[in-house]
Amino acid sequence: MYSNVVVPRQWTRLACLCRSLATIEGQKVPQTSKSSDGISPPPRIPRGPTDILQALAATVGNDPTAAHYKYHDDPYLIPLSNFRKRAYALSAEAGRKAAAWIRDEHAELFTTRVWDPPTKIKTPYFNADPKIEAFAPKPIYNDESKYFKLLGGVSGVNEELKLQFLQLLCFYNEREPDSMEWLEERWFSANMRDRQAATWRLGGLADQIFESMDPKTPEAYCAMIQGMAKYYQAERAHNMAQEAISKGIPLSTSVYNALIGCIGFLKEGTALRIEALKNILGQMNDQGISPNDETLSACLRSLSAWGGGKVLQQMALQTLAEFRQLGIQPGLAAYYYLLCLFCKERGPRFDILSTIITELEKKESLDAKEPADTNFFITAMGVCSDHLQDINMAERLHAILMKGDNYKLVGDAYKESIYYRHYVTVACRHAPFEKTLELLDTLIPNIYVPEPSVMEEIIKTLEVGGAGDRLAQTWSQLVVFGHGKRVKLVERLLEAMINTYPGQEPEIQSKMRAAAADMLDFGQAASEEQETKDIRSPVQKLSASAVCNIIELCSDTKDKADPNWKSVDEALSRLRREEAAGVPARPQALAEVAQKATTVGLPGIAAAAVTYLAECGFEEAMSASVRVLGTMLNRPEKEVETLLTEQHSSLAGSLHPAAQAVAEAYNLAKTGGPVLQDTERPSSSSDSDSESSSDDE
Amino acid sequence: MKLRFRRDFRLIVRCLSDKPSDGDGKVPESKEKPAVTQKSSENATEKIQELLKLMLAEPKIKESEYKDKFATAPVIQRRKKGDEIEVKTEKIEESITKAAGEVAQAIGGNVKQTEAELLSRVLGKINQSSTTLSDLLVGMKVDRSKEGEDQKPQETRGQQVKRLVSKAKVTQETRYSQRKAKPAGGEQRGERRKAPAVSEPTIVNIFSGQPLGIFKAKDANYGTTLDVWENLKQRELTLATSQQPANYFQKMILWTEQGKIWKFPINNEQGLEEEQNVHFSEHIFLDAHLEGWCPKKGPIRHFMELVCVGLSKNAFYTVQEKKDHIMWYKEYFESKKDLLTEVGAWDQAAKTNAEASQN
Repeated sequence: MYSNVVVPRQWTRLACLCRSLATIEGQKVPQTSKSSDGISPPPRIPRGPTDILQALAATVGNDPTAAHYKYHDDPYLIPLSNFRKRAYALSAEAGRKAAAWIRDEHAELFTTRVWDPPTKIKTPYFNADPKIEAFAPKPIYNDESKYFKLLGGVSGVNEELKLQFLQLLCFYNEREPDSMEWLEERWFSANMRDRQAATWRLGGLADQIFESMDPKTPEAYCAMIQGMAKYYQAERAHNMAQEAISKGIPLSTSVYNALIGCIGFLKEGTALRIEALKNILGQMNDQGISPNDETLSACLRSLSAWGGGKVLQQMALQTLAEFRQLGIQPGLAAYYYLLCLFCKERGPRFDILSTIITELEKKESLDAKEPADTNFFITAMGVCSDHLQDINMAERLHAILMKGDNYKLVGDAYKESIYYRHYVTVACRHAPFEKTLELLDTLIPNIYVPEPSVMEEIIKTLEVGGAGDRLAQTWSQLVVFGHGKRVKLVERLLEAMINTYPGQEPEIQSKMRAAAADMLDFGQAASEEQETKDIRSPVQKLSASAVCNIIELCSDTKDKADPNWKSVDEALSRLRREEAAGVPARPQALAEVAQKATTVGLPGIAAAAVTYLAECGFEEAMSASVRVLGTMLNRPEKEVETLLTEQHSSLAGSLHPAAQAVAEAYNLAKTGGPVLQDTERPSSSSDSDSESSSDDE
Repeated sequence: MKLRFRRDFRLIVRCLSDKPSDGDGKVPESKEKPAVTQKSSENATEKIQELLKLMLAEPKIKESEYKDKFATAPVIQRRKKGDEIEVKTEKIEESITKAAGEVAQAIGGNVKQTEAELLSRVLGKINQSSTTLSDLLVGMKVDRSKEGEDQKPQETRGQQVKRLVSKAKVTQETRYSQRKAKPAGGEQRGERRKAPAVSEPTIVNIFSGQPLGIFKAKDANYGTTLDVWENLKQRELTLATSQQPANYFQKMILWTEQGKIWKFPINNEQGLEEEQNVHFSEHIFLDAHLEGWCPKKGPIRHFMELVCVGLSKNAFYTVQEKKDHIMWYKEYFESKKDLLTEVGAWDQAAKTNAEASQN
């Protein structure tokens, strides 16, 4: 009786278990078959840990008007010049490094960590995946360190570990590799091209370990040869390769790639080197080792390093054809070396880029295969700009870089900025004006901050395009980008503004006037700063022509109360104090300003302008002073002239001080002002005048 | 007469300045031109009128004369080589003459005269060779040859103009020498900066080479592989192409890859991969490891049971570590066996063990 009851209970339990098992399985196994009730949930798609994040990241568009994400923290601190961008990013990184240091060195401070028990030595950061590099134990790099000896030294470590260690030593030549953790450091470190010299450490730890290995495995040989060849210890590498071959040790493609890379160190002269290259390739074939895409780029790299010329170019094309026959397509690095080989600065112009771009446009996305790939875009853009001077090509190239994930191939900050330097230069020179403006608006200042040379190019473009408002903006850009103290640029900008000023809208003209006045103030502030802070390098002064341009711009107003007249006054006094280099290129402009000032009713400024002209000894001073005086006294010029030819002493006292000054300027000019400022002033010049100028000298 | 002339002149100027924008509808050039012309128009008017009279005396401008004048541009003299430039020079002339003709047609009236006026303006300015406009026009020609033939003339013109306006400035001079040189300034400024290479680039098809014929196609054999070396190579490559995250999601991706945050979907056994195949009961029921050495009762047994409870709650030790931990106590107690026996704790254990085995 009891059993009757028990069995059904057991049955229900079993059924329950089965159901739960089915549901557990249902979660894990994709259901492909249709269920009986007609509902068929889609099969489960297995996803990686970052798949969803990547999908989300893909929805975030690129906004060129916004600062980079790393600068977002505080809008007030968003950096706009190259220097500040670098300083900001590296400071942030330094903060992160400090935090990591505290985490590592003072783990006991973090007492409330639940998931990262700091006392646990084996996995110091519980979240951390022990397999990733950043947390892996640091390798031991040089023989000075005691660690290797503590492990047992050359004799105490087992062969497998020794081999791995040997590879590590050979790869980095016993030097500390860059950290994966600190991205900003890598981004901003100016990665110069590898020094092409034998830097391999002879008799170092790697050599010791290799000596101690017995039997010497093919892996050990390969590691040693590759390491030596990588650091250009060419002769030894080749000898060791010969030794290995004679012993019947199988080498590898990578070994041959490395050997090809250092042929130039063994042989002199193009013909011999090409011969050696062919020999090595032949040897590879004899050993039955297949080449790969790195073999191709290694060949081209060597060829491009040996200079230029028809023979090498021919050889490069032949190599390319040979590898294509084997089904090996050139990668970005190979294209880069080809560009180096064909597009020389002072050589004949070859257009190989169009073929390359057409080839690259066919691809969906570009994969980086070797670090040299990052050189391609910068070099190709340089070729577009300097060698071919072709904006269409540049735009196509840029489109490729912007496609998909390709932007990672731009390399680092240094390469990126050179890339854009070339791009903006070629656009300024050859692109239609509207398009250039569009490009500038997109790139500047968040993606790229132009260097002075590029800035000059941009100013030229704006000048020719007659974009007055943009020129006025350019001044504020110059200040923001930290180029405000570059006198050459400011002078160039002023010249451009003067050339485009007439014919602009009144509103824009007033903006330009404001910019010009601001330049004056900025220069003033800079020189004051120099005095107060005792800066060693002197602040350069604007040239007289530039100051004159400012005066001309600022004086274009009919309103006596306009604050710009103050700037004019200031600029004139600066000219008279000889704080500007040289003399104005267009004195007639100053004469016109004097005339304008008189009509407006500012005789003081007019007098200053005319006196300055006379002091510099311009012929314009005479006619200008006559005209100014005519306007002042409201008399015809003839009458004024006769008046002036009289003894000037008779005039003294009867005239307004400003008019008096003008009259004196006339006399100064007439009697032949000082040709050189060193020569003594003629005695006929008035006392007050000579006093004032001697004060300045 | 004079009034009419002036009006005509203005009209022509406007037409001339509008001309480039007819071609491709580019605004910038048409904007830039009036700026220049307006500035120079005042003082140039008299000069132009004189020139016009002069030009009108002759029936029409000759091609050869035109060419001569253009050829005075220093750059062309210097770089003159082959017919290529020659051809292009003619092209520019033709296009300007043609353009002038079209404008004249558009204005109507005395077509010949208008055309002559236009051309004389262009040529007259070139002879002055100091103002901006002349530079522009000469420059057009110089730079013209730099461009690819396939481009539209109007577009090219704009580009060349840009380059020329920006010609190198006269170097800074001292007050004195600058003054002295002033009368000659016009000629000095006329100097062109050296023009870059102007020839058309040779198109080389990079896939046109003959194979060397060294390799025979056969099965791929890359020889000895070095795993550490390959890994390091991959690492360097990632390093070379790595960039800072551009938004928060990318930052999360980076952190996930660096192992700083939980992987999604979140699994709280992350980082415990080596324990994946160990059943949880092995973590919890540790008493089995006491069997065989630990006394059945007494203080040592009590202590060891507590150790087991503690270990069973520890989520951070692996099973092996827990076992090792227990074994450490075993060894510890055994090393202290003498003392423990004296006290009576171990003796008892030994006794009970013996009893147990007897039973």
